[in-house]
Amino acid sequence: MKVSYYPGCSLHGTAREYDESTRAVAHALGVDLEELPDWNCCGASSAHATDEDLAKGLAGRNLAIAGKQGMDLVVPCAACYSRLKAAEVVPVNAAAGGRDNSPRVISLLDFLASPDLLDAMASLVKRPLNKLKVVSYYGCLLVRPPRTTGALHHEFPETMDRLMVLIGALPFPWSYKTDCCGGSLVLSRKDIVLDLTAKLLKEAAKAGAEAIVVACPLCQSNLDTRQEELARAGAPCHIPVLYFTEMIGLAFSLKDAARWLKRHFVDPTELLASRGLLAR
Amino acid sequence: MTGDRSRKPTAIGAVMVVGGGVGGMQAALDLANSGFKVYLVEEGTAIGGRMAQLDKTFPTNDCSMCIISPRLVETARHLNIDLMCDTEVRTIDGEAGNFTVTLRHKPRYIDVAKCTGCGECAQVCPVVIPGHFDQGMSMQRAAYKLYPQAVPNAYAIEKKGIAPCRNACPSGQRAQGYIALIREGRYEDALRVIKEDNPFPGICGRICNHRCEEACNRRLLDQAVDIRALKRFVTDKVYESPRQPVTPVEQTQEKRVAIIGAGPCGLTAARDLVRLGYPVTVFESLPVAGGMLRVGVPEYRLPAEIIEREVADIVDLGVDLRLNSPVKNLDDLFDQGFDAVLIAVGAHEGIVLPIPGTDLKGVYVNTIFLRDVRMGWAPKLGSRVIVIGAGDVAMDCARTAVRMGKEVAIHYRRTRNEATADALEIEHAEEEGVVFNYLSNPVEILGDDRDRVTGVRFVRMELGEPDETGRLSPQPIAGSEHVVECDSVIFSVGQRAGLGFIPESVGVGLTRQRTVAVNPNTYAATRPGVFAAGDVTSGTAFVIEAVDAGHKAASSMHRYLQGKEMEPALKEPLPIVRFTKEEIAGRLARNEAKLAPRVRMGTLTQHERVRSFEEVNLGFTDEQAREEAARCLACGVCSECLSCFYKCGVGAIDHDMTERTEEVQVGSVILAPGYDVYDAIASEEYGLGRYPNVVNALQFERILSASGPTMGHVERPSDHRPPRKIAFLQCVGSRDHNHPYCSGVCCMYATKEAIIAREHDRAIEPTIFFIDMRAYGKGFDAYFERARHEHGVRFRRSMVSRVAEDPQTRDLLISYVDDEGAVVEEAFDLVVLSVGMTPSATSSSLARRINVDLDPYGFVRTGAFAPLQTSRPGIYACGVFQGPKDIPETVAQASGAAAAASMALSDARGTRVAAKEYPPQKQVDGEAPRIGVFICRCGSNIGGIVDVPGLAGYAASLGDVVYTDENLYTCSQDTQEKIKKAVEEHGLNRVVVASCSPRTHEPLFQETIREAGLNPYLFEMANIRDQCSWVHMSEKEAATHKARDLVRMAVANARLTHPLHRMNKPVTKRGLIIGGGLSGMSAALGLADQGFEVCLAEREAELGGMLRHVYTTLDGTDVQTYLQEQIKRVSAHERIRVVLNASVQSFSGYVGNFRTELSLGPERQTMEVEHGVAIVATGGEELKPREYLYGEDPRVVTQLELERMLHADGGSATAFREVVMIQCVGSRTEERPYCSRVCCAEAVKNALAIKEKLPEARVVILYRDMRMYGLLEMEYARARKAGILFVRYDEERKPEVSLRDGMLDVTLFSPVFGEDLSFHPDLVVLSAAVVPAETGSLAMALKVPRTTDGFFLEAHMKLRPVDFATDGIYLAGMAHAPKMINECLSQAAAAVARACTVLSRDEIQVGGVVSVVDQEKCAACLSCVRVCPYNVPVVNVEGAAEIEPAKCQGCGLCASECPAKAITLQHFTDDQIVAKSGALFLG
Repeated sequence: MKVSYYPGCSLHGTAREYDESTRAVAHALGVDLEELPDWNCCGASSAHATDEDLAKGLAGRNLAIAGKQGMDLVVPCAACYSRLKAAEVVPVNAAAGGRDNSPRVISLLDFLASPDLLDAMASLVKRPLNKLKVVSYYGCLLVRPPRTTGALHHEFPETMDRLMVLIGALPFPWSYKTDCCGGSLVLSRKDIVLDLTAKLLKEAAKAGAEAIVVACPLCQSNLDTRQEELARAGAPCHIPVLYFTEMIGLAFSLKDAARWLKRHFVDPTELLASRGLLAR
Repeated sequence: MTGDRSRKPTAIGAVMVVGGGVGGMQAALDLANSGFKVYLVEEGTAIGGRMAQLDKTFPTNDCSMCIISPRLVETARHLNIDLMCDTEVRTIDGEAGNFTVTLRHKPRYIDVAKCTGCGECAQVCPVVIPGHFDQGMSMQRAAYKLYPQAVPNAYAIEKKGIAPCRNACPSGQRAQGYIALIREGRYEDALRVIKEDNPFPGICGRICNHRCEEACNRRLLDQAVDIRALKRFVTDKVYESPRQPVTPVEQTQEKRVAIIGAGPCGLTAARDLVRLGYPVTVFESLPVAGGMLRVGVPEYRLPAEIIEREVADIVDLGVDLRLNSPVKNLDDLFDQGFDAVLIAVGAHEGIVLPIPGTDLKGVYVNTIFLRDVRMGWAPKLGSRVIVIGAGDVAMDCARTAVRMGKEVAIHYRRTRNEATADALEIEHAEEEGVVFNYLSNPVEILGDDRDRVTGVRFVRMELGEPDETGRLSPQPIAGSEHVVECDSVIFSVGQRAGLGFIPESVGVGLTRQRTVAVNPNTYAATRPGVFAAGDVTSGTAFVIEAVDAGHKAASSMHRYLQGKEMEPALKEPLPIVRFTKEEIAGRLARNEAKLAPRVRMGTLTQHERVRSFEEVNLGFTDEQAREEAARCLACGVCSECLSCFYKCGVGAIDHDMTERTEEVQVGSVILAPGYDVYDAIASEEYGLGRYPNVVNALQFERILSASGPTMGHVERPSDHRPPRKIAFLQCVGSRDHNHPYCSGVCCMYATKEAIIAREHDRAIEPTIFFIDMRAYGKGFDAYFERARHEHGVRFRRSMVSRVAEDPQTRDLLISYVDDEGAVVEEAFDLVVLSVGMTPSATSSSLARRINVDLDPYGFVRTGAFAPLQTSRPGIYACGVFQGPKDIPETVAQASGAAAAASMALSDARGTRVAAKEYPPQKQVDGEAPRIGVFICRCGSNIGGIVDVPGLAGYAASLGDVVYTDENLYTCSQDTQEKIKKAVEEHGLNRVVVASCSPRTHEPLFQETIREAGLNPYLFEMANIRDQCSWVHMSEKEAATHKARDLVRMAVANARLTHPLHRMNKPVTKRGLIIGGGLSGMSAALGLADQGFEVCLAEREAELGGMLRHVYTTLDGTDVQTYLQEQIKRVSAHERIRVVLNASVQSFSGYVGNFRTELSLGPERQTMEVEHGVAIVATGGEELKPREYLYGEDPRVVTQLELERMLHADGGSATAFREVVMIQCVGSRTEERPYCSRVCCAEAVKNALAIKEKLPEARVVILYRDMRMYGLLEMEYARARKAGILFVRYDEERKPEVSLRDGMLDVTLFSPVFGEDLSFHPDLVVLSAAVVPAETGSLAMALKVPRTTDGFFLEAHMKLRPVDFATDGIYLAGMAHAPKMINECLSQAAAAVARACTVLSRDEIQVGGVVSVVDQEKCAACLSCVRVCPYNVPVVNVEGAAEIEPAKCQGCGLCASECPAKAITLQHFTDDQIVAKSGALFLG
């Protein structure tokens, strides 16, 4: 199987481990990810808040390129996904490539959770995750707004939870799956961001989670990098925040998994080693 | 019986009522009681509907089941109601008066006529599903009775179809059934279920290729259930105990059968044929039986002892098994006198590829190799072994060689993806060190000079195009040939049958693939009498296919030997239950399924494995098996495990029932399909299903119910702790984007649930979060105020957007806006979602099929002045299907629909009803009692606890008992005949049945003895089940002792029973209607159109009442035109006599025979009317306010005055540019603590009219709660959209209206804005209260009660909304309470229907269980007069109390109060009570 792949800026930068784990898992599943040639910014960071046409145009150009590729477009970053999905729903202008033969935009999570790949995944699980207790965290953009994403269960998505069960983890059905982490206010209103992440981390700990599983580089960095600061402010927490693709890679026993996990601020090595999932 | 009898009626005197809820039952009873045949069609297994699920009802807090239960019994036992459960209406053809309805009766799998309701089927049913009745709060079985009091009192089996596992299995294994039995720990039963279809459970539990698992619906969720491992587990458990000897089957057939081959196919056929009574001989060439199982499968996968045990179970049935007996020639068998032969020799010849070198030493073929190892004849392999092929047999060869200590490599010409071996087998082989070489094909086997194998030359392959099997076909890569050194080669590329014993001369044809040619349906070979099955016809296949072929061949041979049709028509199969992803998601959301990967079975370590032939897979432990079994989704619900079939003592179970259709002729149809509660799973933000402590209101209703899952203890589901703080969230599934209507009942039921919860547990603190408190019905506002002020229920006006859960405490967190406007978060122990009503799931498709129009939300469309008439003439609707409403309105509409449905059929009244003929009653007075006692076992319900034979012996020893009998089920049909016969043969004149509850069964037994010629009052019952065996289940001896006490008491009572006779009194077929407004006129026309005389008495000088002041309805229909038409019709009707200026002077008589004196006109002439019934429709009027400058300033008017300005006086209101309306003027006050119900809609109607005339006009409505209930909510939305402003005020801070500089000034404090607002309107409109007409003296004359507010009080607020407690007097319209036009019309029609139940009869029966007065003893103390709730006793001119038997309800209050003992309640005399209590203490 072959699909177009739009990594976006995060996966080439701060979230390289998300990119690498995605590619490794895809390879194991026999999926050929073809990176979109000459892709540009999705417009999530500032364009969509400043200029509607620019926002549509940026996303539209990517869609136009993907249209020429003639394959579904798989998007790992939730913010990119939201922008591209919005452009898929709202017709883009002809200059940006038009709407003809537009590709279907799919989030990486939904793509990997498609029935065929799930079957394949089940047979590739070499080392089930030993009932590692996790909470799945979708954040706001992966499923909402439903008229953009078309998500049926936008209040309580479960795709990631099902993946986690399949690979042997134990997801807890907590109430804060789709609460905002403050990702879009990281630069402008750090005070709000700290409040939001503190609440999420506290609730995850309360739910007994040993790790938070995410599918968005913004959520990951927000939840991962704030923990030290929160600890300094007297709200100690220590919960690794892992990409779901890293978890799948672990369960597949892929050799690069240790390398990806090293890049996290909150080091998951101790936890994973204690479960026999990673060497110390 | 009215109408011209000589003329043949054109209409059909029968009505179909669709839906068996409280509405359907009411309509059915009213119709059946007024001379019409009724077909009551219910989709479910029992009637009772939603009301049966409720705990209490508002506003009286009556027990719901207690008040509905008598209705259930009355409906079911009515001679002229044909109750059709499990039935749906498919189509309706024809037209009003003459419809043909096509019905579909769904199979119930239990014969209602035979079922006694004992419940043993449910006790043995292993399938557990979320309980329907308790809304999933408790579990039920696939065999179930909906609820304990369900009517009909019969069980049903829920079967959705065939589970996909069973469908996928060639031999139809009922996997779901044995899995359920494993979960219950019933391993013997599980094995029985497997063996229904498969004699080799231990074998298939190990080596089956389990296509069931491929088909498993659970794959959509996570992974298939490990069905094979569970099957093996069953045998592991059962085979732990020594094998029990098998009883041989008696040979009953003459013809003899020979079977060639003792493999799985041959032995299966042998078992089936022996069981059919044939002498069967099996010929086997090997020294062991079991075929390929025994010699083809290695010991480490299938231990020999399992095979031997399962073979022995077959052989011991009486099979003549001859080992070491190869059949040389088929003809020999016929010569030996066999009548039919089955060839089932399997495929034991391994195939060798046609390449050079296969004749070298060290080259083996799979079947021979494996057989030799198994039989102990193992060849000496070299140290390096190559196995060619990658099927299951190849894995067997490779892993066997590993265990012989060899280095083993597999070579396969395709890739792992194409390998046919089980994936787990490949994995195990890899683990054991077998090396896999894919895309590698042998070209030549190389040998040394001593012809010993030295190696194999392989060529590399690549995959090309798909071949005919769909797999990619491998192509050699040029130049890739190479040699792999080895010492032995085993070919495992296929097997085929050895057919040397079938020379061409015997006439059995073969195929090109060297298999026996057979008809695939019958397995008959080309020679008559010869059959073939298994691998010999199919080529190599799996065990389960051989089993299937064995079964089919056996039944085909049976047909052949019996000379029957060889290919009979097949029964229509059940659907296969394949889940969709949505269904799975739904189960997950409802917490009915949890994500859980399959349980992994333990295996020997690699190290242990390669050293021995010990079984590799260790099987499940008990815990593992139950955990895995619990993963089954029970797809088909009933699995046909047949546990119930074997258990049922009356043969009521029939799993072969099929659907059937039926056509019924009726004159009218009434639709009462009811509603579903909104499935709040869809409102994911509230977490229903996900959070255990969030429940919907109906679930909470079940929690409150004494018969519910917690026996009425208020507990939260997560930890069974009593909750302290409970939050009720209103408008879940109402007043939202998908459901823009108000469900009309939730405010009240939430208030009720909060009150009842507090009554159960004073520590509970309920909070109700709401938008508007819609307490608009009769007595509702007072109820709401009591909840607030007396019961401590907290009401919080705030819409809650989501519920979060504290994962540790399972408490629920709710954010809301407090009084100061701040957002606060509060934790609750339990959250109840006040879910709205949606039309029932099936009603919209029904409406489509029968061409009845619906609104966009699925409610049926009816007219403003014909609220019960659907778009199709002759078809009527009532209840929630017509719009959200509560019970009394549903009941009123149901009666109304009955009246409407029967009006056109009045000619045909009495033409389709049956009257029962009885034999003359025997005279028993003066005879000594001869008592017969019948004791019931109720299956094991009583018999398993109480010593029934001992009890029967005891009963026989009691005085006057001349006959006793014990029955398995005393209520079964055949036992009724036994009882009648016993009455006859033993001259019984009293009958006692000791069984269950008189509530359900007394009428049945009374009927039985009446058919035997005994008066029904000569019957007595002892409840030794519900009140004895059920409650003392664990104390058998004490229960038996108590049963004796109960029987002794019943016998003592029976001695003193006497026949009671009822008298007939004629009925005056005329109705008196008091009040000539909308309701009175409507009722008059209704009764007159039904063919009865009517006297309509109006107090005023003209007809019309309050309706004269109303001009339009909310939907814009012209009211005045309608009113004039009605007046014209009433005045012109030949059967209606209108008397104006009339008032009631005196009233006397009883139902059927009333006499009323009316005073007419200013001259006060008197007029006497004789009538059989009376309908009170005295109406109400608009209050003249005394506040807000009303009457002081002409710019302050009431709504009715505004309406006249808008529509009558030339539209003067168009001049107003700003209008303020004030709601609740004179309503919801201390003086009038009721809601006037109509004013919100009236205000919205007039406001919209103002806006229509002048869109820029500003209209402001000041309100406390906008009570736009039901479908009115949509009009409320329309008003908001039209720009009408709605501003709320608090009851404590009412608006103030004053004059400032000649301008009107309206000031109020807005709690929403937190500040004062003021308006300067041109007009202030007061929504003044509705007050009842002055009816004090009328109530005195009729002796009927009124509420403190002056409205008339009905007999029962829920189920008798238009009846008075006094029989024959009814009420309708605003006399009852304020209501809308369509509601008045429904009630008027209801009163007509109720009246018809009296007027349609020629005479009424009085007497029976009534009180009688011994006038000699009466001291005229008036005790009885005061105590009677029905105002029946009077002190007559002789100075003694007199009780009119026609009025007496038989409650017995007077008898118990009478100080002189002058009053006796017949059938419950003092003598009887004394004798009964005496008997108790004698024991």
